[in-house]
Amino acid sequence: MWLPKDASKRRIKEAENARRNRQEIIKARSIGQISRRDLLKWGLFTAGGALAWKQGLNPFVRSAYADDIPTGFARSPLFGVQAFTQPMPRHDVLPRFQDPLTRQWMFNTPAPQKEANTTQQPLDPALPGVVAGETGPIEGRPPGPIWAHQRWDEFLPRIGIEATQEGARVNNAYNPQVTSDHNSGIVAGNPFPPRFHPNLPDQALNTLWTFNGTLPPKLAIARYGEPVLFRHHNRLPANIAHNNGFGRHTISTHEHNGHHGAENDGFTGAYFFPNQFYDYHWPIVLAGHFSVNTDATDPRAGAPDGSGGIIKVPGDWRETMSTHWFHDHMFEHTAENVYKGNAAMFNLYSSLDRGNEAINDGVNLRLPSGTAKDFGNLEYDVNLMLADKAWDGDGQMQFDIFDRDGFLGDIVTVNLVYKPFFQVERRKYRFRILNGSVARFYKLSLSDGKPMTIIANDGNLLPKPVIVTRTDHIGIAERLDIVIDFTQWNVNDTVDLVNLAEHDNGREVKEDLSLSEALSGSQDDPGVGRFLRFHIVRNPSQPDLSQVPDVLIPNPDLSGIPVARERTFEFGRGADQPSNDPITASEGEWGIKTNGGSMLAANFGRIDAMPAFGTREIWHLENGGGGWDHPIHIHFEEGQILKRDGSSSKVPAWEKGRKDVYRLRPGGEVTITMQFRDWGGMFMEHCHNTTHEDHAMLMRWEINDGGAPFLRPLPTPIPRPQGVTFQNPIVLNGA
Amino acid sequence: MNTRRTFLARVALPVLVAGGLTWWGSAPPARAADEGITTLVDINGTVSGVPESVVFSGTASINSRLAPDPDFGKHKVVLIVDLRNVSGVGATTLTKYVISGPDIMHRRLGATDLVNITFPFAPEGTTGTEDARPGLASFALSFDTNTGAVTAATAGLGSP
Repeated sequence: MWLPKDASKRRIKEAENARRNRQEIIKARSIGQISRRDLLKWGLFTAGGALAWKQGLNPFVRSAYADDIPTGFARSPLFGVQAFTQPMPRHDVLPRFQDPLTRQWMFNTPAPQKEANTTQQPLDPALPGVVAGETGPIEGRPPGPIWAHQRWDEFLPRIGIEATQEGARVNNAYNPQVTSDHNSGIVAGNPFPPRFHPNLPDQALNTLWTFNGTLPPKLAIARYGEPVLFRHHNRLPANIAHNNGFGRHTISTHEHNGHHGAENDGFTGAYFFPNQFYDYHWPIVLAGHFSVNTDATDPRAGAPDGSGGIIKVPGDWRETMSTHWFHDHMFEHTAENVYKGNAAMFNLYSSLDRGNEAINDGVNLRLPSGTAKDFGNLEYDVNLMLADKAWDGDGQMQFDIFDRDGFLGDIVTVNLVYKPFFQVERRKYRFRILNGSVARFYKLSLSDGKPMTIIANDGNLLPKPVIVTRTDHIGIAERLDIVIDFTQWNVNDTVDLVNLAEHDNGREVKEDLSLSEALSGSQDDPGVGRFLRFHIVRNPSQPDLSQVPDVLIPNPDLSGIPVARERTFEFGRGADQPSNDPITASEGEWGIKTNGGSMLAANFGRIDAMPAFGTREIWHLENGGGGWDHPIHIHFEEGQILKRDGSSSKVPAWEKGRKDVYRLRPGGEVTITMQFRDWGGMFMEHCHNTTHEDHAMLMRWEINDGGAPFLRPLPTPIPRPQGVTFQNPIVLNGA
Repeated sequence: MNTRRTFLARVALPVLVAGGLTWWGSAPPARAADEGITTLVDINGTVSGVPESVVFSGTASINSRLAPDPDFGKHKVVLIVDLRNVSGVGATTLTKYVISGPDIMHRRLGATDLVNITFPFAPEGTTGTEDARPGLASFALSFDTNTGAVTAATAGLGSP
């Protein structure tokens, strides 16, 4: 939220005072000094969930000086920085280790193991609830067989990746895995400071909490059939108050769209503490691994073998995934933590989508990428993370939990820098676009309206490519892979990527603009308009061998699989919270109504749905109101959209692939179908407007196979620095 | 020493002592599936440019679904504008051109609205962007503000 461009000095002063007062409360809330219940009692949150109209607190109050224009933070100062004056950094690729079971891990932590490592270590008494002399486990994963890595021995990790979560520092090891001529001149060996532009201030140590504490954002790389062990070290401050005003130092890392056991999903209640690590085991298997193509005879279900061939793997090749991301999922604090930098991208490579445009084996789709390596070439395959930010008068990022509609920043960043340029050759490029914002939707166009091709949605290649001049909304957490053919322009031309979706609050898009409106600069929303400039700098040095085939990946045909059950989930406001559990139950006006029951606020100790293992279901996702939008994310299994607003004909071509985020649209509804296979445990469904999620629009569901091999229902983990305990779950009637 | 009394101390804590309590309101009712109302409008015009100008004609389909906003009063319509029944003919080669689509957009509901969208078109039978070009379609729409239905529409088509 922001003040209008022509806000008076008096108005700005009022807003700044309100901001300062809110920051006090935000700080107190972020460090656990006060709870949402306290805010309710004090009348600072209203029945509707909004911030009370208290003079000196709510920046939107109609004060003696104000009209009814919504205002909020003063606009982020730019310190004279102009748009498109800095190069866009490519993602920083996390190193891959070939010896995860024997290598020396960071901080001398021991080799990974099936069950959580409960070796004790002294606890920092700065941790909440800890007294000097106490000890706790080195790994934050809940202990024992229930949270052991499923099928560990079958999928022993072959690749190790590790990263810390820590405060901002200079990156002296930036590795984009491309040369500087494919990185707009950025030299990888040079120090990369934690700032959004070379002429903007460095972010302070505890303002920005990123993977390895550095920028640019990180990129992990994996291929099918190659199990990964991702060790995440929490190196955030033990003192919960050392957060520069927002962000929680406990984290849970969700591999978004991962098809893994739940112990590796980043369950919201399985968070871990500073100075602990958590081993996430990502087997990287095709869905249907244990039921489809089990003898691994189809080369379309395969992985690059490193030398131009294919290693065939079990599973359904039509379930091949390409673009994931991973981010924090800390209960009630996801928005703050992701906003603070806990977000990275993850490219998956397969025999179909191997990241090599030259190998012509009849399977490889030869999408724009490069040729030098067998797989994972990044020269022409570019990750773009979009995220809107806001900062204070000192240039330090700020966040406002009181905006319970959804926090909006006034600065659109790409790969966490302010409005950069990106130098391209005159050829085809693939862009893997992630909406990494809290509440902002994007609708993209090129500044001259020329066509681009959508090839993947939510990281899954579509059945066939779709040519557009304007994308649909990209909801929070959605991914859209597009191909832009820069032969449409000449060398030395520029063309910009433009956002057409205007917001005036975080509830939903205010209005979709025409290209000319968005380029006019007349809107109050600073997030509208040009945000990334492409500069066509040269003809390609090598021929462009890439293709965009007419057929990509068809959907799995589920029509022959019986529908075991249909469920309805309505997402709306006015949620009730029957539980008083101080750890698992959340308070918030947003909630989910299951199968016509009560609208309930989140409780990660309550199971709202228990689909049976090995079955297929149909889920109806309904938006309970027309004044807001919700991008609904369902963990673990991908779905196919059967209907929008009751009609199959209203499912657009770009949504006819597999999805994991389903935008409901205001007052709209979506009918999907999905299967429940391969792995078990507790998963989640929630709005990925992370403000809505944190304010209780989240539910837990579990796969129920009748008792074996998964215990049912699973006990709820209750994390503490001294070790995770468990309590019995609540099962919603009819789950 | 900073003696500023914090906001919490000044406002929140006295309220806590007073025991003020606010609770959530009841849930709004769920909406049933609404497929919207579809309106057809004739559209024609010429997109100029290279390699040739293209003369388009046909019928645009506009599906309008009301998204009422009783809480905040900012009612919207979700419009699906489909130009796939509009085709063009190349002025020089007489090549047939077809349009991809649709475009989905959210607009604030008012009695009237002007909507401009770009759209891609290409010679029939081609699939890549190599042969695709952009056009611009403009719609002057009148709405029934109670139902969100389009009550009148005129349309034009040209170069972006």
